[in-house]
Amino acid sequence: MDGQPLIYLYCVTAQPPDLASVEQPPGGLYLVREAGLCAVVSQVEAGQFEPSTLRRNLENLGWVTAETTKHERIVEAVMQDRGVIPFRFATLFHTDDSLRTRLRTHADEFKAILGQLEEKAEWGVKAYCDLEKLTDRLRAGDSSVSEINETIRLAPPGRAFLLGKKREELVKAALAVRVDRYVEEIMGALQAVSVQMRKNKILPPGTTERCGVMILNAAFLVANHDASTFVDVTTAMNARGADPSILVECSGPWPAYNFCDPARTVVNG
Amino acid sequence: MDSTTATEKDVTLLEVLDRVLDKGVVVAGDLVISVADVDLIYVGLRVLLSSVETMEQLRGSLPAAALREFAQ
Repeated sequence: MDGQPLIYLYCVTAQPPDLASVEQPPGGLYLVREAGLCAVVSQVEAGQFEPSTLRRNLENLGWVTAETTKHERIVEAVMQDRGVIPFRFATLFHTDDSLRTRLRTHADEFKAILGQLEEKAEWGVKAYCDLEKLTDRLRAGDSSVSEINETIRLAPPGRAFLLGKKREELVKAALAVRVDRYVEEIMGALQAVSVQMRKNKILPPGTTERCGVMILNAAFLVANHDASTFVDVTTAMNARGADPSILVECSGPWPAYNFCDPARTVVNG
Repeated sequence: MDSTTATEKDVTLLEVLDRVLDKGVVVAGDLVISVADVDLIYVGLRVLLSSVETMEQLRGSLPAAALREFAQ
């Protein structure tokens, strides 16, 4: 036997959520209540989550997929009913009492976070740029290269070749300026319809199935009554008339995983 | 690029991992591997995951010949 089970914490709410509509993990969910807070927990086998075993399990993509998906589903289901603070994967306690102690010592902090997140949800936005397509377009028509394009057109072949090299430098600079401008425009438009923003690391090519290079990876905290506007703004960014070398993807609503640490977010406005 | 529009909950496993493993409140439990450990493991997983997702995407959208080329 693996001994005593461990207590796995999924999320914390202010008011008790209705767990009947939440998909139950083996053994079932229950609430641990303390200091005006409700922790949504389940018992898990100690054998799977002991530090040494957990490290090995985390190298198994099948196990990680099943367990993180379960974690996410439970938090999302609770979120349908109550405002939640989502906890990180594998936040474990030995007993309900040790969790109670932790709820007591963090009560003020958790209540403040719950207050900030009330009636809001997280939305994820990733923007990609097809650099090749954009480079071609800039080479053909950007104002910074129009003069040199005209000179190349009239120049003899040898000189045109050298000028062509110079033009590529101008195009490269124009590309950097243009991408920065797009990122600023996208963030600006979305900050206008959200409460907070957090920029995350750009994921390297190949990490997602999109063919372009990621130019923005950000999370936004959006008031629920602004959610449809927020989605409309991202949709408009891909609409006809927008630069076809830019793709903006939006996902949500998510539990506010990115907005539980005030030190790491940007308050808009 | 295609003109994919925003869709709610059209998410990949990567999006879930990005949040569940990498974000969310961290409170010292009684028995957790350190946050630094999780971050390291996460980097490794992301590499593994990206190749899985890339392969699945290619399987869905490219003819078998192109897939063989990709695999080489």
